[in-house]
Amino acid sequence: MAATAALGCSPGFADDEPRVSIGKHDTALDINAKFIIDPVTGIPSTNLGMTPTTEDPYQYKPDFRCTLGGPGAREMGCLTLECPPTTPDGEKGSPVIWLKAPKAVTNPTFTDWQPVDGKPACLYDAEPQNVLADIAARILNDFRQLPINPGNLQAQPFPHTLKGGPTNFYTTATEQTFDVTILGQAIHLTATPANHTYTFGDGTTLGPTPAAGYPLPEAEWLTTETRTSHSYTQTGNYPATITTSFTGTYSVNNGPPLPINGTLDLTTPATTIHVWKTQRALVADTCQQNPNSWGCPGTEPTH
Amino acid sequence: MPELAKENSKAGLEAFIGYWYATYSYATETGDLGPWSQSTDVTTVSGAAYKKAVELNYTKGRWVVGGRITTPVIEVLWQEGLNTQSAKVQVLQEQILYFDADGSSGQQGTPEFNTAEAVKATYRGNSWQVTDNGLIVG
Repeated sequence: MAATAALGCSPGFADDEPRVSIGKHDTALDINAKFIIDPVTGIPSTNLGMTPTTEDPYQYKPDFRCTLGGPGAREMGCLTLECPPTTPDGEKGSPVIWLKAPKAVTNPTFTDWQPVDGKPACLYDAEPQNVLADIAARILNDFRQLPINPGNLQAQPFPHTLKGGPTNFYTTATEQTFDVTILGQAIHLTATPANHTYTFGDGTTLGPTPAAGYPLPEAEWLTTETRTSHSYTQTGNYPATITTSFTGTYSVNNGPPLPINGTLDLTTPATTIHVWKTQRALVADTCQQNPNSWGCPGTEPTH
Repeated sequence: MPELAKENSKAGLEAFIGYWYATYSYATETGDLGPWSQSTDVTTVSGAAYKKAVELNYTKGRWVVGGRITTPVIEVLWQEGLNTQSAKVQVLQEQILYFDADGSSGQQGTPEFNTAEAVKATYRGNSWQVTDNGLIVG
């Protein structure tokens, strides 16, 4: 030990510290060294703010060199990719090599995208390049036909709340997935709630905002303001709705998730919020002494 | 270090960043952090973490195979008058295999990566130093 110290070889960690990855990407993740590009300045910033960091940082493009009859079809790299027929009397498919690159830099170098389970992505069509382009052209339309569930608009308290205090709103909309067949290919779609516009029924709205809101414990109702709460100023019955904008991705036969360039806006059926007012009064008797005293159970409710 | 990489300019920073990633590739492949440490502020959280990742993988006779880093794209976002400048970099790293002193596999291999990173560098004295670095996630 003394000899080591004299040589100055003292690393800053304990002798039995466990191994870590030496991969640069892993090291950055371990210490949460993350940046987003500030949309105004274009400069990387560590202030991640409200940016949904679940968004895919990659862009993808297909490489058709291994398609049947294509330039590389007889090379080893292509021959090992099998696309067996999907039906007993069907044709073999063409393997597609998907390439990926980060979206954040201009003119990046693309490298091979690895399918999750190692199976190649295939296209089953006489014209594989055309079928991919044809799917891309119609996918927004197909996306907008999906039975996407808009969720419900919830309010606390409900169905009766009070004017002058924050009524908390939130949506139960969630991400959903669908598996459909388009032009003979197996398409996996995701629909993700991205933005919400809250219509409170009294002429005011909130949004569009990515805030989906969240339920509060009962003890905090009408006292705690949230990003999605609203205070009604007049008593009455208000039909409230929420419009959610869904974004989506699609993947073709086990390929990577490609962005769908457009959204689907869905609005929930109206839910009626009954807004009452509170009254305060000084009372001389307790309800035990005088059951008919103001505000006691069984007496007229206040509106 | 190439002469251009010592210049306090957009072209100088671009050359410096390419050089800096090359020194970290060298450190990853050999365990020698010498050149990289000269160009990095290792008192920062990210600097210290990158240093430790290399040290932990070269102590007790450990070694690695692979892990070469290349940077096909370096985009310097030069802002006149600022001492600390920013850049976006595409970083490719080859897959990595880990070995202990006896030649046995030390831990699960790391697959190859293709990512975008942000680099912040400050011009101090007459040279650049990297003061922050991490993944661009959005």
